[in-house]
Amino acid sequence: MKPGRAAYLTSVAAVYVFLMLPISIVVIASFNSGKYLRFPPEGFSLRWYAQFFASQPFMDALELSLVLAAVSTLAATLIGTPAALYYVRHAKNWRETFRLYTLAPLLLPEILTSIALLFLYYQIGLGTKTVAGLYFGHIVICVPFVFLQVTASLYNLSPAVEEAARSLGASPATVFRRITLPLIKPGIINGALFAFIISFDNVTISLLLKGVGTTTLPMQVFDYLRWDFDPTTAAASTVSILMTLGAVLAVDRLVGLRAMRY
Amino acid sequence: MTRLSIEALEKRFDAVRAIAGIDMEVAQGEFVALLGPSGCGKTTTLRCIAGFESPSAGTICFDGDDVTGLPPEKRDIGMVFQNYALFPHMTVNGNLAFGLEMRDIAAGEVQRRIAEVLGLVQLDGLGERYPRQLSGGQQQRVALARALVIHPKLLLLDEPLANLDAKLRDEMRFFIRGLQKRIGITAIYVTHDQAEAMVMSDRIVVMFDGIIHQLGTAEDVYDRPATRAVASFIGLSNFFEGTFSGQVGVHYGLDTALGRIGCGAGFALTPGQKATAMIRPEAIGLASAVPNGAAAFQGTVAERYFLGNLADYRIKMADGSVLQVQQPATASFAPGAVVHVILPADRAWLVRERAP
Ligand SMILES: Nc1ncnc2c1ncn2[C@@H]1O[C@H](COP(=O)(O)OP(=O)(O)OP(=O)(O)O)[C@@H](O)[C@H]1O
Ligand SMILES: [Mg+2]
Repeated sequence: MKPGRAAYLTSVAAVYVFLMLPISIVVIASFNSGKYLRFPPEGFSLRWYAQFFASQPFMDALELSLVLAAVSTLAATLIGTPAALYYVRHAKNWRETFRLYTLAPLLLPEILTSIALLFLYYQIGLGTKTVAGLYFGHIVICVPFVFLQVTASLYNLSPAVEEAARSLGASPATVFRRITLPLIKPGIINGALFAFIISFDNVTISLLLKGVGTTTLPMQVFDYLRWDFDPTTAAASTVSILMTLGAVLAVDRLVGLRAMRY
Repeated sequence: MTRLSIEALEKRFDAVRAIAGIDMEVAQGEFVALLGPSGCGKTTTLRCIAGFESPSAGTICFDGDDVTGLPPEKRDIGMVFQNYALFPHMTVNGNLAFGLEMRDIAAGEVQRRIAEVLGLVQLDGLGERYPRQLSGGQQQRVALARALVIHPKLLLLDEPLANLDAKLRDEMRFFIRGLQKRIGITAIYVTHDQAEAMVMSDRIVVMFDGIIHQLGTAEDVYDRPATRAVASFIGLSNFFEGTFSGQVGVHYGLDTALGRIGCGAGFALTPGQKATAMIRPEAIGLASAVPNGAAAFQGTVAERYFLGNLADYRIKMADGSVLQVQQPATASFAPGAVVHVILPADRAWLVRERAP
């Protein structure tokens, strides 16, 4: 092996280790039989998982987080995809302005976005008595991820391909269904996955906008850690990692990540 | 087979006038090339015919029916794009079936037509491949087949060979032309390659800056170019500026810095009017002795380049101008030699400075 290649492989390995190591430590710590969150663990047990699944606050938070992520993903996909189509194909003079506004939630610090939204909610009398504001906030921060992914896939799609379909007798709606949509599907799926993950482990937006008396899983973990330092939080984290992985695998089973390359 | 008529077609993009008033008639089964330099409006014209651009003014008729307001999917055209524009997520069969499905053609007939057209473009057996599994030339033939399989009224091609290598491009020219003749379809072919336009078409439309300078056969545009721009764009030319002195038989006399030369013309002039004549380098004769009967001008060989079949000369004339002359490589005049330059009146032609 050439020294250059060895250095390359070593650095790739190092990146993986640095990314994976903290995650593995949390996962290992969740199987601890001892009373405190620590590493290395003091023995093996599933008691913290039992505790996690038996805890009403954790279960409520998990449910809210899953529903919130699913709804935000769906809504962000339905908003981000047409926005990308508009931006790439139709926006003329205000193209870049449009892009800037669409990406603003990604470019601005999340805490600013959530404070701005909080102001807005109190202005219009929505407040934080319901979870509606929380849903809206998550959708706002998820849209840019779908937008970016779909935009990229649209740039790879030559307009001539769509025009060829028109010339062969397809109406604009048919062209979209038979040509455009299948060809930008990879971008939409990638964007949706991003949106799900972004919403599922978001803290900043949830911190300010969650309804009174409700909480998301990351917030619940955070709150719990303030009073208890037992491995329930490690179990919660492991479950949330599995949920994220589950989302990726579900997409793979449903539409096939490999089918994303045509 | 469809007749295409375009009348007073104009297309503006904000301030840019991409097409500034175009009239043309294309007969049934005719192959017409739109030829011109980059940005002259060829693609825009083709896209107006296809319905992808809506003209700012003018009408487009297929067989006398006004289609100017129709969207592309209602025009029944077959279009071939420069970058092939195949559907990457469909097999060759899928690509070919698409247009037939849009026409609600029965499955059995779809199969029959696909087999037929694959035979025509010599791609039998490749129906199950995806576009990425084909070479550029094969993709181009699939694109051609996809446009033809729907039996369209018109075949529109926008620089379809620009992405192929020189040898393949040469083969495809004859292939496309042969196919078009066999099917008898009316075809409009956009290119900026003069050789391509000359080899392939029945007639050539030569465009500059959004207007047509000349519409004629390859011989017309080469031997009798309408304007100086056409003469310069197609082939090589020498120009002589002068004053019209009057007609002698069929020829027009032009008093130039060299002396009086005779030439043909496609328009009337009044004596004393300024005019420009052009003559192709290979139409000029060179002789070492003063030829009998023909008018000859004396010059000196300045340079000689060997081109294989031809020798390319630069001849310095008495008035200081330099003529480009091409002669069979067999006859040889060495640099420095004094030669007599013969400008045959039936090969010289008056050109206009601007489009008529
Ligand atoms: N969508 C558009 N918006 C603005 N200007 C355009 C548009 N399409 C074409 N033009 C302009 O119209 C003119 C003609 O363009 P067109 O594409 O028809 O040229 P062309 O003859 O096909 O050139 P080429 O050989 O480079 O393809 C050019 O000046 C071009 O910049
Ligand atoms: Mg063009």
